[in-house]
Amino acid sequence: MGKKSLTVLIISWLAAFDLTGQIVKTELTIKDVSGKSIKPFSEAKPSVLIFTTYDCPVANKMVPEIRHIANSYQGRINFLLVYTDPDTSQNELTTHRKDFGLNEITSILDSKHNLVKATGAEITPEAVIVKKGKVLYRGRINNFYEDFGKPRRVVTQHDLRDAITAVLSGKKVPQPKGECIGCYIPKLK
Amino acid sequence: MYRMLYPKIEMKKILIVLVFTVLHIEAKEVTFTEHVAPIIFQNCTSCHRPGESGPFKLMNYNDVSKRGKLIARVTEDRVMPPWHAQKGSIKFHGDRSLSDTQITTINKWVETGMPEGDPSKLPNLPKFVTGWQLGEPDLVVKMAEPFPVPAAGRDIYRSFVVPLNLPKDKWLKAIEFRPDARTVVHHCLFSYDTTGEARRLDKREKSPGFRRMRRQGTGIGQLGGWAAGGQPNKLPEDLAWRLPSNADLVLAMHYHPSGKPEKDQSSIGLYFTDQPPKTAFTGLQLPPVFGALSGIYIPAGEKAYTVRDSFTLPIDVEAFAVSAHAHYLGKKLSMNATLPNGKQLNLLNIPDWDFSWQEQYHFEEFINLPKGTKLESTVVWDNSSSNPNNPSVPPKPVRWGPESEDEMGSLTLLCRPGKGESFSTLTSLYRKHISETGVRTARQRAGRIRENNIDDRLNAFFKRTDRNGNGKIELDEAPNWMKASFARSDTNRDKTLDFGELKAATERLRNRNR
Repeated sequence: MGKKSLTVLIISWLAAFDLTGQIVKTELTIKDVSGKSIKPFSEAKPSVLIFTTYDCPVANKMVPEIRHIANSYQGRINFLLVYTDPDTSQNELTTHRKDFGLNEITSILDSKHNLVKATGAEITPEAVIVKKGKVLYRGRINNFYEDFGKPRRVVTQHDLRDAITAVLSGKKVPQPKGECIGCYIPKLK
Repeated sequence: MYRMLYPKIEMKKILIVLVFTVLHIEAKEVTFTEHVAPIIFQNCTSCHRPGESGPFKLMNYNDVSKRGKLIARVTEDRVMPPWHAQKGSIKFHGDRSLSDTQITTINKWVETGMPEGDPSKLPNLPKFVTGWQLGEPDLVVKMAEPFPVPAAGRDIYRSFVVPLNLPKDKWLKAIEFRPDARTVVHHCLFSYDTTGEARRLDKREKSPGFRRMRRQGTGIGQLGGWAAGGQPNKLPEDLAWRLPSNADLVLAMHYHPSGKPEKDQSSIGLYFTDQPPKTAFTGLQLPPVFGALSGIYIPAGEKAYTVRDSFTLPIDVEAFAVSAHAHYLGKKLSMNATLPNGKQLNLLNIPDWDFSWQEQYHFEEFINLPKGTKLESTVVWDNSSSNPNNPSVPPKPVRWGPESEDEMGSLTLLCRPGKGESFSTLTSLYRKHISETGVRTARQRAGRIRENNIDDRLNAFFKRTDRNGNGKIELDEAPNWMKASFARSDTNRDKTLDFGELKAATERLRNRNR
């Protein structure tokens, strides 16, 4: 590998990671799916956002883990499920939340990609942790998917759980150990 | 000299072709309507449309451009369309894999911003058949009751018996499977049972279905299978399975939890013919009995455990399909034929085996394999921790067995005798091959045991019995003959046997027998 391509590689690598530490506006107010106004980033508690769509099979297979995380850190984090496909109908949203047992989880239809842009999320199911207006973690939930079409039989790394635990105990936040596999969030037209 | 030159010329040729392909694509804009839609509509939309297995539809510009980046990636990785046989000289019926040029076109389109192009150039969607792909079946049967599949957890393997109540023996041309809960049904293998075993097993268990058929052999027969994305095939020409009037259909299903609880009650269509076939056909399985006689023992951590088998054809045959079977740890499966004139034919090569996509590969045309052709199969397993499919973390030694966490491995060539050839010569010689495989393995095993000293044997037994790998044998891990003396051997009373305790017990036994 030439020196130049190495430099390019390093720069692109830095660019990919530079969204961690990104600042988000804590005063941002949006409506959740029930029409209630919420401030996703304003609370003293850290926010954990999971980006999804109703029809991404990789994200859907992760739902049991998403529910597990929402339940096990209940009260200690501000947990939000963010639907990113602007074409999602009200009916698709309601059916998905009911079928997958997600009615208890605060959900947002981010049709204008306010949260996608604020956090830099690119993939479903990607997780972002924000505390005091700062992005502390962005990446995969765990290593269930090694690659496209290659789910693991046994999950051996729980990247998001480890990161949340670190944030809650004020420790250095470990970054994802591998690529986030899933569906790409399409850019708005 | 010739050998040295040959690859160079080939490379040059390839380069020229590549340059021209690239120039050709560079020359004009790649658009959806003109270039990408034909690829997607022909190869993806049959599953990616409402009512079929694909998780979302790919039927117009909006559907495809929204997922453009994903499509580019999964086609480049050859994860989609699902097709695991490598392209070779033999053409398969219903080959869904894309060509390199098609993949390049999709990539180029995504890289250049996914332009839609001239709407007048958009091809029509192919006329997809809704419902039964092979037409209205002669008999439609359904699982007796819905089977619940939970939202999460490990994959589920479950068998179901479906009585057919045929008025008389029938000639069966094809089975078409219509999955009910499409997101969770991954594959289904069909067999028939005239022994009543399936009904007995079904009655014994409370929840719908039963774990699996135990018996094989007389009265039980395999009838192919279905995997998500696969198209049903009729047996070629006049070939047909004989289905006895007292046969029950047995479905061995593989379910994948999808994230939401589901209930599955799939349907099966059967297609009969009144015309009896002129010849019978058979499956030549190498190694035989899914590898049961090949002494499969895959050490923990072993990256490429390999079993080979070969069989020389005693008559001319005409082959029409090939299939492969292994469990999670399977990595590479291939079958080659060396014809008497030295010509090599690669009948099937699966370089990256995926347990989830069981499929029978039908050749586009019958392949003539003359008497004296040597069939060779190779099965490679990867029992290292770097195999994401490994169900054990850390890896454990694995033996042959019917459970999905045991291993099996073999390739099966379906063929009929050539014109004027004797079917029984083929089948009796193949049966001889089965028994010889068993005898050879038994001899090798006996030889190994004589060579090893007693400690090695005890060690091996301990490792094998300690299924959870915690360095102790729990009561439920102990074989029945050991359970009776378990408490006596457990000298430190911790309800487990460590290696020292096992060794002491063995010594005691040996002294007593002296």
